[in-house]
Amino acid sequence: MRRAGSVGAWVVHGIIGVYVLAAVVGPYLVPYDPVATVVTERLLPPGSATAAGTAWLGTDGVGRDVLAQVVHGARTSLTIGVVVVALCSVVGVALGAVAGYAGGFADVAVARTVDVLMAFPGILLAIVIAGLLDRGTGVVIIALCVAGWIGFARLSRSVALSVRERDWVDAARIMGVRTRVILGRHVVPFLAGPMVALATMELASVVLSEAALSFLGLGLPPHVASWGQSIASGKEYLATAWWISAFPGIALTVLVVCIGLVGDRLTRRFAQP
Amino acid sequence: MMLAFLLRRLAVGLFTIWGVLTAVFLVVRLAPGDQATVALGPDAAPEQIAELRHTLGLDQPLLVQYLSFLGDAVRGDFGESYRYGRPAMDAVLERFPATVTLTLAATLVAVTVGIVLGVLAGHRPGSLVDRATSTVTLGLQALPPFWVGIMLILVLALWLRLLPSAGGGDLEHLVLPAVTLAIPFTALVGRITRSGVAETMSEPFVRTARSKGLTEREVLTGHVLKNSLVPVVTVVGLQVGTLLGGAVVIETVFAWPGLGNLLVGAVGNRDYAVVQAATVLIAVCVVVLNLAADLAYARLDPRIRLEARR
Repeated sequence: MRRAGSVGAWVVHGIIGVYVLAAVVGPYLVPYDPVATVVTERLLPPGSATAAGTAWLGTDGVGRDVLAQVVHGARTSLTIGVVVVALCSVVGVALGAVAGYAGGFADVAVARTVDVLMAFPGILLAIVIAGLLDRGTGVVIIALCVAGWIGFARLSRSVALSVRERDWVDAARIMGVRTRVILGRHVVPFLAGPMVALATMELASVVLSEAALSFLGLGLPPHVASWGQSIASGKEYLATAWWISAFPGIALTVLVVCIGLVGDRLTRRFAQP
Repeated sequence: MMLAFLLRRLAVGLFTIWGVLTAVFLVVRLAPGDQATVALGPDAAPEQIAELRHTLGLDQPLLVQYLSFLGDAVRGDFGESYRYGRPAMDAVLERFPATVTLTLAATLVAVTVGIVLGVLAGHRPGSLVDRATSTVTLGLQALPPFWVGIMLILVLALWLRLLPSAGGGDLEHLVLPAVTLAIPFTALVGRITRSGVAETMSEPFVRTARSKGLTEREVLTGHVLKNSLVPVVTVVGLQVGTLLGGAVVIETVFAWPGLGNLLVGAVGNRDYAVVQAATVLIAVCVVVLNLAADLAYARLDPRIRLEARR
């Protein structure tokens, strides 16, 4: 089974690679103009010929190419996912490590904030924040970060708590090494493995949340291509043109499932004893 | 000692509700266009807006507004919904039962299917059934629910014409949203049951049960299941927040007349009173059910009570 497992892993990594490639170079190969509407080419089924070439995945309700939306949506999803996870991990690790290492008031403050955010569904918070503030990429990123950092803070806090008691940390403290240096050199490195695993899982959930927000019409502005918006725009044509919702959704699903599989493997590998 | 445990959980719960109240208050104040501007529309005269602002207390200092907001919130008063022309809490409570029905139905589906899957997989750890179930549940957990919902509408409602695609009220309308909402939750319950069962299978009392000649079915239902369901109870309670969050999105997909549908509409229309009332009601539900899960956990597993005592 070992062989089958590693073949599976290759496939999964390969698929993620294709997405990254599509996100980086795809937009140069497949042009997409979100405001261009071609009324004569509305709702064409996959494989139809259009003025701009063949619409392999069909066209949507205003004649825009679905394949182009899928490719440009990959860039949007991955960019937002990576930015949110990067911000969340920096903030979360900093707060968690300080809370776990320093203890006292800092710890109580962070732990209570985490309690509040844990109890409340993150997607709901994102809906309220992104929905009420002005629409824009920045607001979506902030809305997803609000609940996203807590996983990182919890993890780094627990690692910091356990590392704090180790002999070499005591030795460093006795030698008069500054707290900031101890944290950076002796505490944070222990986080690397579990942190990569958590970041992977978090990436999947951020991509999903962003799509859900955009699907509800509360996320990215209409001029940014995103899978969530494409899926939503196809909902009213479901009976006549299923491909508008189906293909962006398949793109989203395959990406999230693949990232989830990688994350699950990493989590098991770096599982904390 | 149990009382101390209870009081501590209660304090955390109250703190959570206060946190949500504060967060909602701040977001509404940060939003462009205050209640008065939104309610009167773009054509209102500045004097009118100023007058309504004065009536609503929006010309007061922020701290005064915050304190009176907290005071009103304690009494369940979140102000008038400008779209529905009546107290926001009334509008929210009217939609609440539909959401409760949907989440309960989804929980029922998830727990039943999840436990069956978990027992099948955990019964023989490492077997083909186990590995297949693990892969399937992992995939199910990652599916985007709102898109799965749309695909179910496409196939079951539009192509096969088996079920209605949207709307609410009767059992027929409930099936698709409940199943959609249940999918990731089923996977979660399945995974937790699996690990619980797998762990219990190696306990000595299982060997005893087998050696006294019980059939495998009797061992599973009489001895293993009961002991591996404790974590499932807690997870069901603790995942209520996730479930309600999911319901908000799913209700919009299926036009299910619940709280989530109302909330998403209210966010879009900037009906601040309804947004505040709905968010706080959801927070209260989550806190109460989490508390219940904690208690049930302590009740079911004496070891937890002992730990709380320490």
